[in-house]
Amino acid sequence: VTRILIAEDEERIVAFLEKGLRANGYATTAVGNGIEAAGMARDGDFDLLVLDLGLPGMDGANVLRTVRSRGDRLPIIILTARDGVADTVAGLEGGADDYVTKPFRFAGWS
Amino acid sequence: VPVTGPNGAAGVFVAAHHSAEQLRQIEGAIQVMVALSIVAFLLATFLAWGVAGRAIAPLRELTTAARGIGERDLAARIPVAGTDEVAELTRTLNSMLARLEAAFGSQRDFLNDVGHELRTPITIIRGHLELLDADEDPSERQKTMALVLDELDRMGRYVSDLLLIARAEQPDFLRPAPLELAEFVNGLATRVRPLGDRTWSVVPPRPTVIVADADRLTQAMVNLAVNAVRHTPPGAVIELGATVEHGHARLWVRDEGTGIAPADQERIFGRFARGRDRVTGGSDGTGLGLAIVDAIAMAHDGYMSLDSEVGRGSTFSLVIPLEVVPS
Repeated sequence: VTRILIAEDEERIVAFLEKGLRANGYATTAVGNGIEAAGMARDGDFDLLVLDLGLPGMDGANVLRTVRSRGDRLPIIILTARDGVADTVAGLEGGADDYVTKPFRFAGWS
Repeated sequence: VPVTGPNGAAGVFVAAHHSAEQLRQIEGAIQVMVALSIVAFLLATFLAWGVAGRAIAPLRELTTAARGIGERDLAARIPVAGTDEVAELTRTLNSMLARLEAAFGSQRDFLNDVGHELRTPITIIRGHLELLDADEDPSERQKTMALVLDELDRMGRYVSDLLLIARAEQPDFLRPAPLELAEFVNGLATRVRPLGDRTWSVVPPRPTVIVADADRLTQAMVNLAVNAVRHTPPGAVIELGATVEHGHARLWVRDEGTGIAPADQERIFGRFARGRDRVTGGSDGTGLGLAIVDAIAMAHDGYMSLDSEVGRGSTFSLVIPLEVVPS
């Protein structure tokens, strides 16, 4: 089973992400802050990290940096309400594999 | 002139004077004077023009520079030259430009924040509706419907708050009337108690009649109380009160909560400050609460102030004149 870690602090976004991903056969775990996200990405056995940029504790960009600085190649999709080109470029240069701007169409995901 | 002598002899006395030479001299003198006058006049005009031109040149440069500054390049400044009145005027214009730039900047940030704030409910509604399955358990469908309606209500409240902030700058926003401040503060107790399980305490001032909009002040104080509840645990002390000092009324809400770091105080204090917290399902969690308090203070010709220390709590105050003059 593909295991997905969802790092997002808005419960109601987590709710439909989990529902949709599980309906497609994925196993999901959700965390609501950046520090936990960085820890889980290291300790848990995940195949994908869906990472919100606006996380409390440690923001998504820092989580990304932390994970990549460990040399971890875990695929990471950044999820954000910000759609500035600078943010996108910074995210991808920071080692994200893809970038999704809220609101998004869920259909294109699975 | 006929002349008759004593012996009968008659003659004529003729006197002749040759004046052409003198006339020529006079004419000559007049011509020289006229010529000199014209030269002097031209010289004076030329000099005056030159001096005035030099005096006006900085003004002309100022005009050109000011004309060159459009709405889009408010970051530009006019070069200051010299120490005279024109330099002073230039400095004044530059500081006005700085204020305009800051105002446009905070408006832009505000719009940016509004956009992102609205994206969250849109994302939630979109996501949940997309996954709404016709074959789904009716109770699940009911839950999704309730959630979507709740998010739409939140968006509705947010838009109402935005409109309120926009309206606060219009002259008919306030309906000022005489208001007994001690009575008003005591009356707030019943309004704030339902906001949360806290140790509410009310400190009324000595009886004072002010002229203000009671409904707007209530709204501002409730917003401050909501904010205090959000930053304190159950049971914590939250104090509401008012004092009259130096011709002003100070209405305040004090909490013993987490307090606010100096850097964040600055941010909160911006004209369109917005807290980062989004309290899911909260009654007023639009994040525009403090911006509304600020708008209400400004409408009363007053201001908002904050005294806060991390770990010790915060006191938000609304300082308004004893009598608001309708604009």
